[in-house]
Amino acid sequence: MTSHDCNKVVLKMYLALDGELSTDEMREFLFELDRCSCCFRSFEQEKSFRAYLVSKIERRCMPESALEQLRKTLGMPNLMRIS
Amino acid sequence: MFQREFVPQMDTLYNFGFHLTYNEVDAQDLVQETLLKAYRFINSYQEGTNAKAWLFRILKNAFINEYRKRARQPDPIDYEEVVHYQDREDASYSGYVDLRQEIFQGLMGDEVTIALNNLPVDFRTVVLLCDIEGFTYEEIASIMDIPIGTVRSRLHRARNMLKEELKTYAANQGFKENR
Repeated sequence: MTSHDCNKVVLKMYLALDGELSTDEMREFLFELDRCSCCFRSFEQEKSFRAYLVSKIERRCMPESALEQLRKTLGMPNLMRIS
Repeated sequence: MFQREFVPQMDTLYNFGFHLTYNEVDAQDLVQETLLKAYRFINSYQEGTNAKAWLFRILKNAFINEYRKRARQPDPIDYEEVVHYQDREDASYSGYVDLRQEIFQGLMGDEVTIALNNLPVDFRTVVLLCDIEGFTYEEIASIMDIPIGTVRSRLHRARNMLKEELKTYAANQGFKENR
């Protein structure tokens, strides 16, 4: 069994949460979390922080007046908002 | 095709433009310029390719061209930071800013928008593209014209900056970390 290195696990943690690990890398990462409660705690904290961030960042939709302007500029009177 | 492939991205483009400029009119202008450009080049667009990443790239370039030109001088802090972190690549990962859930849960929420707004625009952009729009590192690298290693280090740095700022807000509101 390889030795556990918290710094390396933290590096992988960001990649894991950003969906940038392959299936094998993810499996390895989860195994390391099982080996160390500190890493597991950091992972849970980071996960909560991300969720909090996403829930609090303001999202804005294009105002109807701007859409009307766009219809005129593009010469597309039937342009519809699709979301 | 324009209506099917590009128009569904209009609101996310507007939101991205708004967070880059923090100005509704400028955001509208950016979306308009982006969609006009996409319309003009529609014949070179291959249906089914990554329309969203392409449109975001156009908008980001429009932002750089139009809005940085307006500044009295380029923002030297952004570029210095970027060069610094590019050089260090993964070395910049060494710091992990610990932010306990009870600290940020005690905040009102507006602080996140303010903290994000306070980030240098290159750092704000990677957070928006990754956390809000869900782009992959590869897509972000292509939208921003930077290496993937820089996307990684810039995201890491940006999130740490956000955490530090939120910690400061929490401390100002009387939250004691050691309680």
